[in-house]
Amino acid sequence: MKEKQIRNIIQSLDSDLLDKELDALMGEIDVDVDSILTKAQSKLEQEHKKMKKIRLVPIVAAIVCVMIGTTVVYADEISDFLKSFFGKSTVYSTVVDGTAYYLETPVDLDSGGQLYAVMFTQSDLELVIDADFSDISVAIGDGKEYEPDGYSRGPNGAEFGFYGLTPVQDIVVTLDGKPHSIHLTQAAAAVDNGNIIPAEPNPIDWIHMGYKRTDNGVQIFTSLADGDLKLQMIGSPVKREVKATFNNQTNSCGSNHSPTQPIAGYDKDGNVYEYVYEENPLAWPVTRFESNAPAGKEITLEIPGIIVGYGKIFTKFNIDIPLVGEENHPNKEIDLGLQKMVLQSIVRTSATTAELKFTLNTGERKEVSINDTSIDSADVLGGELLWKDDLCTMTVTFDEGLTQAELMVGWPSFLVSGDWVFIIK
Amino acid sequence: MQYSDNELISEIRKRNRNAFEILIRQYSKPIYYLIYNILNVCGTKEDIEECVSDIFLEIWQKINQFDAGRGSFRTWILMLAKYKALAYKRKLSALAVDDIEDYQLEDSRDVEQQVIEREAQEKLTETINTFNALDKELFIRRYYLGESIHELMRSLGLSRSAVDNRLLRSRKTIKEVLSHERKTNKEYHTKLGQ
Repeated sequence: MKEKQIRNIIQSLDSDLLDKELDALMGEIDVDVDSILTKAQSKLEQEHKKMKKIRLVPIVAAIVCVMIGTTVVYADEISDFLKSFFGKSTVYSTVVDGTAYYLETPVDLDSGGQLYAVMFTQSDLELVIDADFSDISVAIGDGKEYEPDGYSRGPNGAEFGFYGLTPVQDIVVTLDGKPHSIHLTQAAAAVDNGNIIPAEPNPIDWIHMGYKRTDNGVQIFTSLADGDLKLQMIGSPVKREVKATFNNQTNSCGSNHSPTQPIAGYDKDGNVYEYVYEENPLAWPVTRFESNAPAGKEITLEIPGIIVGYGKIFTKFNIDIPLVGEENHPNKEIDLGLQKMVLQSIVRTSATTAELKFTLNTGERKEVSINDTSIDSADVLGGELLWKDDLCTMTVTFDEGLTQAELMVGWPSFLVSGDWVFIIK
Repeated sequence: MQYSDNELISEIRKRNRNAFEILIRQYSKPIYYLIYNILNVCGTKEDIEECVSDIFLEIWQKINQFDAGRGSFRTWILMLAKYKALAYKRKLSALAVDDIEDYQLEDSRDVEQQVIEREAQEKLTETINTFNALDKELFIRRYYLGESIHELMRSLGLSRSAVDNRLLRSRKTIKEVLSHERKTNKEYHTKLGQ
């Protein structure tokens, strides 16, 4: 009997049979499935966010200039609603701030393979390449060669991120020493012909939402009055629970977020249509949704909430670590801009561990709840955080002699429960 | 909650994150064991977990590349896992992988699919259980996890001929069991037909 035949037979066995044998073989090897789960989910989340949080001050200034310039020209002619979308561009499946360029169709590379996608926005240049090579750099006409700042594998090939570059229309991508000149297309302005249709009137006046109908669904447009606040996801999470960890020894961190609930649309006959994220999106946050709703029907689309976040540190403060078995009550209020939370108690649970409890959502905005925020301390070895409903429980581990630690709080994300309604005609 | 492979594939294609969690819970052990055997010389537990979590991310990203006509979902996952582990190994050991040919992985597109009844599967598993500890480990790592002969030689401290001979002996035993099973089934069906 040949090796291939044996392998084929063994691979076709029902999972439960050989898994028992595998368990026996693994003996003392300890598999921490929860740890793997947290890491994998965190990586998945990071893939989706794609470091969109990085915003540079000069870039923000440039966006403001664009917005002011446009506002002067059209101020008398257009509504406040449309004004809020000036300066935004639509690229692939998302909407970005400022002028942006992208690759309309994949380009075959001389060396084989394809340059699959390029998105050059004010926050980053992202390339998706489906080819074999070992070295990559990019030139944008300023006499410099840039190496990638980020790399990951995506469904369409290797994804490279370059941060802090000013968008230009012509770039040179060099793979293994061979240059490829690439001409990009300027992304359409979100408000190209005034056709973003506003959602039904909503009491939340600091968020403007609208839509454009697409071939097989809709694209949702979101404009936030606070320029520092960024859209992270459209939809409400299935579960109000986020788990996060950080480890200062391995310099790693991760978090595990719930997926969002499907968005539903209804027609006048009561038929329900699910709107799902566009398949294989090339850019995040995904704002394009696909549906099998009939094109001719008026659909009432409901979006119960969106997730937004800040990419900055809000505060740093010191906490006293009590003696073993003792508890203190700092009652320290933390203002996260859109919402507040209070550090209620610190309990020393052992010589090297303590538990901190935070009461969440103590601010006045009832429609905003804290999803999670980064709470870190360089003085401890590591920590775990569980965000659930109106409570966050944080467990930290540290060296036995620790009496005080500095906490850093930042990068919060919030669920805004706006219950937006869109009448799609 | 347990999903069949087909359900997992379908739900992951729909980007159902609950299915991602179930995938991790169902496949962490075999993947971990495979990665452990490849990385345990040069990597820590943390490295192995990072590698395993990267593999799950890759499964999520590449799910549309899975082709059921070319082999089982498990085989595909283990193939992805090995490629990822080798990349990690290069990075961690800062050495070129000894011989990439040694790690060439095969799918089963040109192999006749052999579906065997549950009863025969159990018989087969019982037979594998009768192997001595070393033969059993060799057999499972070679044919279930798809590890290379070279890797097995290195990690178990055996010569090439020792590995080959032990695997050959195991294959012969399996062949005899399967032949006997087929013969018994044939006689049974013949009797039923009479």
